[in-house]
Amino acid sequence: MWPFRRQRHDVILENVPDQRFRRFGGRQHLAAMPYPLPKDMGEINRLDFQHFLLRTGLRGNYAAPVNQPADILDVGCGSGRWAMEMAALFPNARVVGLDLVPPPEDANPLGQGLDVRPANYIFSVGNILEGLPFATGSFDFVHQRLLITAIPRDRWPSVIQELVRVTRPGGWVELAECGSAQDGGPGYMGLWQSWIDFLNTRNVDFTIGKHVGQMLSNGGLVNVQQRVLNFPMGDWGGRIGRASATDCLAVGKALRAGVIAQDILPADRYDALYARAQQEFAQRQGRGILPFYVAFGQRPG
Amino acid sequence: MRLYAYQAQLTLPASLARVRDARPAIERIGGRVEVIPTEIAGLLTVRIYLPEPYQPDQFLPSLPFYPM
Repeated sequence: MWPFRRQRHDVILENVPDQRFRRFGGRQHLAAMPYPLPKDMGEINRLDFQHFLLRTGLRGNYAAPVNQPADILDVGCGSGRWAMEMAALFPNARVVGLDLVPPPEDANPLGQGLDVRPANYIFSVGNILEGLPFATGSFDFVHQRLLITAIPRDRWPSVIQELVRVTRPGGWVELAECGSAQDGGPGYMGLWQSWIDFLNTRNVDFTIGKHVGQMLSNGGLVNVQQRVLNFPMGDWGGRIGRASATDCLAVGKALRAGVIAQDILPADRYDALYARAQQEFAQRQGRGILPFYVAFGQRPG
Repeated sequence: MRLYAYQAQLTLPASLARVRDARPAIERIGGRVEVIPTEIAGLLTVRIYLPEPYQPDQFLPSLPFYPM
C-alpha cells in the first residue's frame, strides 16, 4: 500500500498490556521518551487550540512555495489537524500524518465539520527518531512543526537527513519551531528558563528553534528561507496575545510535574512564577513575546 | 547484578531485525530483551535490560532507546 514499506512484524516475545504510557503528574505520558508533554485528550485539545493560533498568526498553514503537491507528509502530526486541513486544501493530494499515537479522531470521529477525516488523508504510526517508514523520494512537501521538545540535540542532523530523504527532488521541507521567551516579566521569563533547564536534563535543547533554517541548509537543502513571527504574550497583544498566553500557561501546567521532579525548582517557587506570569499576561502594558521560526528549503533536483 | 531498563517505540522491520540480531550479545553480558505488542498495529514497545556499564548504543546504535 502506497507509500509504506512496512512489512508484517514477526518478533513477538511476550504478550502483555500496552506499556507505551505511564501516569505522571496526573496526566498520561509516553514512557521512556524525551517528549515531556502529555499524550491525552487534554493535550489534543491544547494542540488544536495551538494550531488555530499558529494558523492565524502565520496567516496560513505553510510558508514554502509549494505548487499543487501530490504527496504531503506531516511528521509529528499530533491531533492531525494540520494534515487534515492540508488534505482539504489540496483535495488531489495524498496527505499522510505520522505520529507515535494516532489522533483520537481516528478512533472516535465526531462525524461533522473538520472532524470528518478527508478521504485523501491517512494516519501512519511512526517514530521520527527511529526513521520514517517511507521510500526515498515519496513526498513533494514534508512538514514538521513543534517537535523541538521531542528531539534530543544530537539527533537533529539525522532527523533532518530523514526528512530530506523522503522528499522528492524539487520538493520542499518546512520546519516550524518556537524560540525562547523575550522581553517578559520575571514570571514568564522564569517559567521559560525552568523549561529550558528541565528539557536539558533530557538532552533536549529548547533554544534550538532559531536555527531551523541553518539546519535545513546543513541538511543539503537549497533555496532555504527562514521567517520569524513574534507572538505577543498577554492582553497587550489583543486577541492573539491572550490566546498565546493561554497556550503558554497550559504548557506551564503540563510541564510543572517534570520541572519539580527534576529538582529544577521547588513546587512553591514554580507555582509563584506561574502566578506571576498569569499577572503579567493580564497587564495591558506587558511586552513579553514568543518568537516563532518558520523555515523551508528545497531538495536539489 | 543490577539491570537498567531502556525502552524504544519501534515500527520499522529493519529496526526489529537489528534488535533480534543484537539479542545474543545482550544476553551474553547478562542482559535481556523484551518485545511487547501495543494496541497500535505496526508499533512495538522494545525494552532492553543492561547491566552497568553497558548502554543501548553499544548494541543498537542510533535506535531511540531511553531510560525507563
